[in-house]
Amino acid sequence: MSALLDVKNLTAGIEGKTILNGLNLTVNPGEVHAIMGPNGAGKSTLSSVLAGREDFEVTGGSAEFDGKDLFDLDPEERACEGLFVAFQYPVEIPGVSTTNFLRTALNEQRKYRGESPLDAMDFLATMKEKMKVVEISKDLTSRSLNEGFSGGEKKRNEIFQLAMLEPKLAILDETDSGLDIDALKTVANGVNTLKNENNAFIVITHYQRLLNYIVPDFVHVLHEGKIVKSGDKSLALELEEKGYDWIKDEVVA
Amino acid sequence: MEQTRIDESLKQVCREIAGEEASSNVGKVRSASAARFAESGFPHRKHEAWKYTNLNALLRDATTDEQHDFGSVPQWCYTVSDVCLVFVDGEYREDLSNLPELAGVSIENSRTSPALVESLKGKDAATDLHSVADLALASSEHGGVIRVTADFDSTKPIAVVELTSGAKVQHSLWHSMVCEANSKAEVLYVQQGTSGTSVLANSLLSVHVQANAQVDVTKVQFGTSGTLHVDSTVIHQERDSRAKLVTITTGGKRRNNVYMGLGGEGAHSDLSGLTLGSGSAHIDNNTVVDHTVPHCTSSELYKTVVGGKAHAVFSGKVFVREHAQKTEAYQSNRNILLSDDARATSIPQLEIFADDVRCSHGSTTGQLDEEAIFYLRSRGLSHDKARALMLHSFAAEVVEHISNEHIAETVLQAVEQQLATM
Ligand SMILES: Nc1ncnc2c1ncn2[C@@H]1O[C@H](COP(=O)(O)OP(=O)(O)OP(=O)(O)O)[C@@H](O)[C@H]1O
Ligand SMILES: [Mg+2]
Repeated sequence: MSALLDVKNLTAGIEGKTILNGLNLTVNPGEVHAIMGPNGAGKSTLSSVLAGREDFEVTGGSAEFDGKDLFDLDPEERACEGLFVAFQYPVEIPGVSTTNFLRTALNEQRKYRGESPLDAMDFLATMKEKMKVVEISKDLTSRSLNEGFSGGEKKRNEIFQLAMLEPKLAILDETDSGLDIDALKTVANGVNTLKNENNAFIVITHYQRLLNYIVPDFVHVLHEGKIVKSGDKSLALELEEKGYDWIKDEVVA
Repeated sequence: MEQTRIDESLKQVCREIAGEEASSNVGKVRSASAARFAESGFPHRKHEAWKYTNLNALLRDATTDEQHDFGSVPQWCYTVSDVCLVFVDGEYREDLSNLPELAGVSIENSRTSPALVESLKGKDAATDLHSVADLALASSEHGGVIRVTADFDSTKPIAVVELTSGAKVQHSLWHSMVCEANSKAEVLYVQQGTSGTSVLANSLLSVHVQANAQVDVTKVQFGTSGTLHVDSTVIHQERDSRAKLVTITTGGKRRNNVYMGLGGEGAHSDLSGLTLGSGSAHIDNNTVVDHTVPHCTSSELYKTVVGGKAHAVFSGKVFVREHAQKTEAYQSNRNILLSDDARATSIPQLEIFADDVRCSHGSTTGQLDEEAIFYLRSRGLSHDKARALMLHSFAAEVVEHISNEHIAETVLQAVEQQLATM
């Protein structure tokens, strides 16, 4: 079985400052990986670098996605190849409705894959179906993207986009932060519905709570720009109980 | 040969008009306006409201264009409208116009009709108008005089089309409109130049909106030419009336003056504008919304996208006079700069003399948000697609103010075409 994502010895930074410092991560189809780690460890940087945010400079290592060199691709090509990042802080885009934007996005991705565009009827039918999965209201999808959305609504909207775009690999960057338990269940339920043997998820979180609902196959600890410890879901419980200090000590030792 | 400045010769023309004997009311208005213009000439740069648009400088090389090619009336103007009045270089063109009998509306081309004066009712010509409006009042030879009778309900807009070929170095037009009580009318006002040389097209539209009447005016200012278009719109509203003005500008050298007087309780004004400028476009919008009585509402939205070396100006003044309690007035100006050399000048001003009011204004100027573009790219849109989607949405918000769907559709197409080149 070939890996969906294969990151080797990745180093990256911004304005001369190294943030990712020799990171290794392999994700196979059908797997769910959780990444945990203290604030500032580089979790969001990893998502941004994989998504292709140009502020960050990749200084070493490699990342293969579905057999392609990720760093050879523009952000939109990565998306079209099936990579999706639900951002920790989704930006507000005044004047662009979720519906309008998603129709454009979906059809751009279809075009890339050589498929014909969805017509308005089919698109609306898909919308309706996926809106049910993430329990999102019509009011939200017709409003300007993320503008004036509450924190929870923004996160829900990210999951809605994920449901619509059906990527091969989805990275959820703290999608659970700031969600109440009902919203959390909705998000988890969305992920579990979309999960299958051909796709994979990386969930970045600070809270073990999410992992009761999205059960990970692997849990990794990211610390100072690299993955310093990996385990199964019991590692998350241990982290919740003991914090990160013991791992920091372990790394130093 | 030393050329006389254009406003010196216009002052001379006005001096002569002012000296003529005037017996009718229209004649008196013309002569008073002529006297004022003869005194002031074009507004001086020191005049706060004209700081960025110096007419004398813009018309320094003014000269006629020997081609005499006025282009053509856009076909859609005929199809969307019931009536289409066409003026070329300041003269009414019966051959190009479409003027069928229309029950409930009277329309003529006239410089003497008493309705001209009626359309100025409620406005203080000496203080509410700029001197360019005086010039139009004084020197225009032609203009549509439109009277919409009480209870009339329009089905299609009345179109007024002004074409400028450059055959004359300057011309003025004064159109007037009286909307009687409870009527509803739409106006499509198209201003287009083809002049290769620098010439002045000066126009004035004065509208009086009676009680509970509604008027929608859509101004369409497409294209770039040597013509300097100076346009003034003055609207006075009586109680419970609604007036809407949408101005769409896609280029050229233009100055638009708007004066909206809310003079009857319960009146509502809705002003919006979209300015797209590239190359060396110069587009200056100057608006005054004047709340003089209680319980009126106004909302104003002007948006700009400028690239190249274009300069757009928005200065918007909202007055809430002492007695205008319970006023609600909102103003917003949003500008996007697409190049380092493009400029957008924003001068919002609220002057509030009443205490029980709800007013707000906001102004933003900046580049397209790169964060937003990255976000869209991360979902599969190319950089160009992302940019186009954002610009489209930005512009569409103004186009959506146009009530007539056929006009809105045509305008949106032209806007998209223009944006694609920017
Ligand atoms: N745009 C930026 N400019 C400069 N430094 C940055 C930038 N983005 C992130 N950093 C720095 O890089 C380091 C890693 O940040 P990152 O956001 O990846 O952490 P994180 O693990 O996602 O943290 P959190 O749990 O708080 O979300 C931090 O020290 C942060 O200050
Ligand atoms: Mg983060």
